Amino acid sequence: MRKFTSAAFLVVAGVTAATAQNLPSGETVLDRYIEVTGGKAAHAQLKNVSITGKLEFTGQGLTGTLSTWSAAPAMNKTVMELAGIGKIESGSANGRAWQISAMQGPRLLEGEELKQNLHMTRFNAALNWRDSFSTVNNEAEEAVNGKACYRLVMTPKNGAAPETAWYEKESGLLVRSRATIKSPMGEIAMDTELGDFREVSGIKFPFAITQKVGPQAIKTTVEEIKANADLPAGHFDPPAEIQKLMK
Amino acid sequence: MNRRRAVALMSAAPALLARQDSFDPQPFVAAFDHVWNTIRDKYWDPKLAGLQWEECKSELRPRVEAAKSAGEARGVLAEMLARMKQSHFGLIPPQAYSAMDPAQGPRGDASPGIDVRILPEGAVITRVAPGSSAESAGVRPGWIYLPEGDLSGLSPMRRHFAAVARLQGPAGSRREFRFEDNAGASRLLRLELAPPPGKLTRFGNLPPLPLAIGHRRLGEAAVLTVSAFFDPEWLQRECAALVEAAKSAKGVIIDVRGNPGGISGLAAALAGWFVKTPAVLGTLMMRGAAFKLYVNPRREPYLGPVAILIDPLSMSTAEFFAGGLKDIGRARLFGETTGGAALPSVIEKLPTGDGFQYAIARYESASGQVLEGAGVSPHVTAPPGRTALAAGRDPAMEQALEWIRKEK
Repeated sequence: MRKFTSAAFLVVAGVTAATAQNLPSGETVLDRYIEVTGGKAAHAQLKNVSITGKLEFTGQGLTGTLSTWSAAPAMNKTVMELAGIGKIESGSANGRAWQISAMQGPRLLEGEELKQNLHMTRFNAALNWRDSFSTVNNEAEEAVNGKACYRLVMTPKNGAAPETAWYEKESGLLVRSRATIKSPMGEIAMDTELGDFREVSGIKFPFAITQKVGPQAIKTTVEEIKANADLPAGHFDPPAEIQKLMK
Repeated sequence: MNRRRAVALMSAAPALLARQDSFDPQPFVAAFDHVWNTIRDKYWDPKLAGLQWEECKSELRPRVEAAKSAGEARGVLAEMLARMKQSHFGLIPPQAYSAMDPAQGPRGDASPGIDVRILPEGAVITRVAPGSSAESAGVRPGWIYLPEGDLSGLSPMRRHFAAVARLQGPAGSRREFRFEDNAGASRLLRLELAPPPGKLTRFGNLPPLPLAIGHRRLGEAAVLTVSAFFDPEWLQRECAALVEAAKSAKGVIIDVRGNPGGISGLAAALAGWFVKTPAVLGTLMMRGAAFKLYVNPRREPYLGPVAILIDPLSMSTAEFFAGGLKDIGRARLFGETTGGAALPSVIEKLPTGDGFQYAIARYESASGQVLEGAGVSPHVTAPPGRTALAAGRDPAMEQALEWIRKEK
């Protein structure tokens, strides 16, 4: 019995060791993501991206629209309009980030919240991942929605909280991410699922995004993505109320 | 039973059976499953408040499957939700939506223009709307509305809603209402029903509801009345105007009596006009997440005395607002203890057309107090009182004004 048990253990151990050795490195997974979504050259030609779509708080009858723009080197602006809630705007540029809504009024982000926001809204994040993360570890292979994926844990260089991402083993696409969002409302775990990848200007973008926080889910259905559009001068300038706060 | 009647009944039997056979319980079974699964998966307490949830399903689902009518099936769902023994669990029948849909006919929430509160004397009229048929007919505050049916066995809150339901009907219709006037005489008046004041507001899966937000000057105070916490843009405009008006006043009074709640975040949004530094009004404890009701101070907040008027019909977000500002020492509360119905919730639509409301979080105040079942108590108790109402007085408002007058 002992001999059989030892041999069985060795076999099991051997299989485990082989599996661990077969996991590609985190770097390999992220570089492959760049390739399967269009390649370095395609990503490098991006100067700005404009996205419009529809929002839905799943099952609650709450719907709205989303428009978001991002541009090199690190500018971002998002406008959401939700029925019954109104307009919610946010943006970042030159190392500062802000939000304004009828609910909260104008607000400048600070501290950990600012650090995380600047990390999460960085332009061309996929191509330039080496600028953003100090370590990327492929921790395991596990299934997401029935498909084998690699689970990566990535530590941002700017000290923001680590995030987890799942990349499909077969397609190489990013299908889920998890981050702990730090805000004055607390530390909130958010899961994001991505799908319906389509090509725009030679790059694959997700057109279906679902974000889950606790028992609630927000589904974004992207309607249009434009790459390198003509954006008006001052497009990323903050609204007047925010500029007053900045002074 | 004579032969003719027997023949009539036998002839009618197929039709009767056909009516019963035509009811398909499947949408209600699907609704039951959705409700049961949702509570199991999303109710903020994974232990489901100690309920034997599997047994609940085993017991009740077969009754839905065997139901012979929509009313019977709906009753089983309501029974399941009642077992939660908490606020913010319930069904909103399809008729509630159609009654408030202008496209489907006159509004169903019309009334003769009176507000009532359950006092020791009964359903006492607290307010008569200016220009209403009730006012034209001589109805006055302090009168007692005598609704049909025996409501005495109901809790005060249920008695209130039952009385209000008996006041309501299609806009433009005329009905008779019985009252006891301030001299004790019985009065039977035929009154026309008109929609309540306010803007018809829609939010998510809620039926449309009338919303009234406004400010005015009253003595040495600027007063803001908020009938429900919806329409953030309207609320913020009124707050900005209130703060401007308060520059020439000695204090601010915020009246959330009768306010049933609304968007949870608006409690913090309103509070932001009255604090100088960031604050937290409390925490919404969900399954897998906890949200603080963070108050972002406005650029030019009002920092003078703030009084808040509350009563037993101040509920939900109104309680987060009043209780939250009380907790951080920013407001003085006048009136009566709030309703203690303080659970953040969502409303989904079921396959049956019903709205399904369920709580997804528990609210804890900044000091750790759970308001559900307890409510927020005022600093100064000032109930309405029939005598005061008949004299045209508002004790809670009077006490708040007196406090503001004396504040430095």
